[in-house]
Amino acid sequence: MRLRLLLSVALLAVSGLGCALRAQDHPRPLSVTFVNPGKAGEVFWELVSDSMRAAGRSLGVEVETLWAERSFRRMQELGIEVVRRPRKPDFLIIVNEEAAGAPILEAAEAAGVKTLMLSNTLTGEDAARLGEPRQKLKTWIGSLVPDIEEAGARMARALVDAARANGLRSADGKIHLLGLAGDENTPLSLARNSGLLRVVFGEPDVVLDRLLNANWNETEGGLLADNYLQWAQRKGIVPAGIWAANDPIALGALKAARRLGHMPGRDIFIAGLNWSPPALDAVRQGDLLLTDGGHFLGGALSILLLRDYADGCDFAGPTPIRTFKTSAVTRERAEVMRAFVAGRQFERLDLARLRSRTGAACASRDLSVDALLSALSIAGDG
Amino acid sequence: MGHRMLSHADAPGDAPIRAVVSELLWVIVPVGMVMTMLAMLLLGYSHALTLEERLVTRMQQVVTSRARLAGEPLWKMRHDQVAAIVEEILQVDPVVTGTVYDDTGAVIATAAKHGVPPANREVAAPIRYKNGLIEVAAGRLQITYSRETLWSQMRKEFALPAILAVVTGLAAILALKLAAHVYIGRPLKNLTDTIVRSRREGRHYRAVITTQNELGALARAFNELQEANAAALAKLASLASEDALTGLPNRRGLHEQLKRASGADAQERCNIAVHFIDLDDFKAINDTFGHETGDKFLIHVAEQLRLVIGPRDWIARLGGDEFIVVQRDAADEATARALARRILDAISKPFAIHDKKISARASMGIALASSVQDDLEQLPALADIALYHSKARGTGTVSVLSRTLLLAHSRARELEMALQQAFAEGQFEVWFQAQFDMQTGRVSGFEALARWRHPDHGLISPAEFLPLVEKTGNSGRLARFVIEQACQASARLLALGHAGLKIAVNLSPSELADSSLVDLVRLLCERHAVPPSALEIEITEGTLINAVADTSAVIQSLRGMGVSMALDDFGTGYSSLAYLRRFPIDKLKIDKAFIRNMPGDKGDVAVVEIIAMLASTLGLVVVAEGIEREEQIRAVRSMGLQIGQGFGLHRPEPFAGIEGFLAACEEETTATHLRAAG
Repeated sequence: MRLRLLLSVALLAVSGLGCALRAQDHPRPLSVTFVNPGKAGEVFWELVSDSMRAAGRSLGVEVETLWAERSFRRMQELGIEVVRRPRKPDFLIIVNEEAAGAPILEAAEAAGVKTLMLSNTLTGEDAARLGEPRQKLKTWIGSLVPDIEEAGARMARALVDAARANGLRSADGKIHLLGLAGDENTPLSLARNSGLLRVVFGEPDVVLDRLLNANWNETEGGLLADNYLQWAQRKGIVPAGIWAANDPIALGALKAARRLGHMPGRDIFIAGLNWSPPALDAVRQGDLLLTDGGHFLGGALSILLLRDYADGCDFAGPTPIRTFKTSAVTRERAEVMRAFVAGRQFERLDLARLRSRTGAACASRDLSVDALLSALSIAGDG
Repeated sequence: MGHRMLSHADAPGDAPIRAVVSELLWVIVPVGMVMTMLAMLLLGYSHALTLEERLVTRMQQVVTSRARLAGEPLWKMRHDQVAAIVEEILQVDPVVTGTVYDDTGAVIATAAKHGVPPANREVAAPIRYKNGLIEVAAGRLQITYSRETLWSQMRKEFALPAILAVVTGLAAILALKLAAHVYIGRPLKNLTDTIVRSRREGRHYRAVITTQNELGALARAFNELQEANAAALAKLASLASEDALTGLPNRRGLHEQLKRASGADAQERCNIAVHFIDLDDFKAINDTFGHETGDKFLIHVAEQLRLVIGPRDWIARLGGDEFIVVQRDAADEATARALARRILDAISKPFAIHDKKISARASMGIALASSVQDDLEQLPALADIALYHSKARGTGTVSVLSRTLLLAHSRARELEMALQQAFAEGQFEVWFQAQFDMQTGRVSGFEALARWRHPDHGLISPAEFLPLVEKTGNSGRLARFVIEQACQASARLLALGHAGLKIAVNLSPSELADSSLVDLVRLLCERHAVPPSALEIEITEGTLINAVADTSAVIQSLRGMGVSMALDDFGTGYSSLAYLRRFPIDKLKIDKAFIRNMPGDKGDVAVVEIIAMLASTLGLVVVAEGIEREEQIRAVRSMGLQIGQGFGLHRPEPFAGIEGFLAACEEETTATHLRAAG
């Protein structure tokens, strides 16, 4: 509680500092248009746009958000319309949602508008055809992708560690886990699963009883968890942990576990992803082991990269596709992060300070959420 | 009665007949139905097996496919999806319940159909889940299903074939019945009807042939049999009225024809004459040349007859050597006699056989239709009477039946009928006629002569009744009577002192052929105490000719006993002089025909003289018969004949008269006679 108070004070300090830095460091204003695939009211994408806007204010970048309202056609129309404007933005940020990004990239190439892909990059045929950024499409300057696979792995490792620590082993001496995936085929889902599986396969005493698709929602997550837990009971298995692909699933599983008489946090551990406020609450109460996430901060990071790029500090390392790590919020940070997220306190991220600390080594800059949050904490500390 | 019953029972039309068609159907239809039912049952059973097999397979497929579908949802614990699959399984018709168990055996989803009969079969399949990495047993899907659907399916699938089978069966029965009626029933009925009708009407009807099958062949064979039977019956009928040898109508045929002729008008009837022809020598021809030749001869005669008769006349053969010619236009006796003459001429034409020529002689009797009122069938019998008369008159003669003939015939018949009574009542008498020694004028003996004293007709001469006695086989009886009377008379003569008077008895050839005659003579002689030498047997030349051997032995025996023998009627027959030497004859009795015209007829005188000379040479006594007049007595005496007999000397009389004749008049009367003659 004390820590939470401290963090909120620190965030307020950072935000004030950001305003001071903006006018000084970035005399040349940049214009960025973001074609947001989501719609207004969709928390994640609002968070992305919000963090983007906050970062823009901090770095002298004017961010325009266009909402595609969950329609990939609308998204393409918006993207193409932007690059054909008489007054084109300096940069275009698009999301390869439903693999609909390539036509926009091509249109931008034709119009000479530099484009960054956020959250995901070209896949499949598009990737094979258009290759890496800056190869065929010179204006596609790069992609910024959260390292979700690692998030999945991190969650799994946390579950295993907790189970070990609490001795949740079945009669076979093994730690039995349930995986509740989001879906079966989106890259985002597959990446998470992949992280889970990497960990499970790497641990001989860990068994993933099932990896089930909960379709991203709480109800199905609860149902599947329910089914699994009953099955485990009949099977004589001690269920040690439930890996949930997102927070709603985790919350559904949590309720099911409770319904079935389990005591989450003690005789079973559940991990979610997304930093959703209810999940952060559950983490704070010790019901959920953790919730990984923070990838909505990729919005802020993308503005940071474009600012650097525009200022002559290229973010491209060995490849123009940059990944960034997400961050697990456990019980200790839960309250602070709950406030940060719920309050959308992105103004308090001191991006100028982050830039100055890494200097000209833009290509090797730590783009993790933790690093970003360190700016926050620094600001708070400072 | 028995025949009636038999025919009644046999008659096909009387007893109810069961049609062969019906009987066939009674066998075929039940067997066919049973076989069809068995076949359908078998078919149904095998079909049920197939259906059940198919059902089982289908259920296995259902459960396997659904188990595959259920693999992922079950493994992935999408129990709602599992439940949906289970619910879906219920849509499969026979499935009643579906249950999914997970790998712990817990029921994950179950569903049951409501309002259906309970399931009686179950099938299960393991539910497996596999992805690129793992393959695991996720659980088990079990369904239960009902075989009820099988039956409804069976009903559905079998309804039409069953109806078709029944319809086909009925059609087959109908067709069978029709075909059997046409090809079996009708031909059989035709045949039966034809037989019944043929029997009822006594005719040979032909069956109608309606088919070309075996029954058609049977009907054809039946028709052939009918024809053969008809022909055979016709042949039989003709044989009955036809003579097989000559092809002429026989006695029956003759009568049939005459019966038909009786139906003609009066004029036609009156013109008919029946000629009865009897071949005189046929027995000799048969004996000499054999029956085969005899038959040929009869055929020859028939042919000859055909040649001479008129176009409207016809011939019949009554059997043996008897033929009948029916003359249709014999208006009077002369016409009939003319034909008879032609017939005799034709028959007597020589007939060449075996390098010999035979010419037959015949006797004929003619009866004219005018002699009978209506019944032409009597004509042959009447002609036979005339023939009888002809035969009596001698061969080659023709007699026409007349009132006289008819009367004679009826008298003969009457006498013939009366013979037995005559013997029984002793109507026969023996009269005696004296024989005289022509030289001494004394009675030398007597000839015993049979007489019939008929109560109505009076005294009947031997000439009339002897043939009847002979014909009726009574000769022996009469001979016995005569011999006994002769013995009796002889005994009386002896008793009266008239020794040495022989009594002669006439015996027919048949008596002489009977060896018992010898014993009879001996017996009667002994009974009456008469020496056999007192008896003399008179025989005719015919006796010697006809039965030489037997007669000879009897004659020898009689002679041995002392009985003397006399040859009667000498000179009229064919007697050879050799007989006179061969047979032990004591006397020759010259036939009265030679005496009758003496002494006027020089020829007769010469014959008698020669006979007398011959007899004298052979040592035989000669008797002259039929002496009636004085000049005959003188002539006989002058020719040196020893003995004389005749009405002129003594008329035959009963023995009672003889006694008186001998006693009173012997010496004197005889002497007077002799003197008168001398």
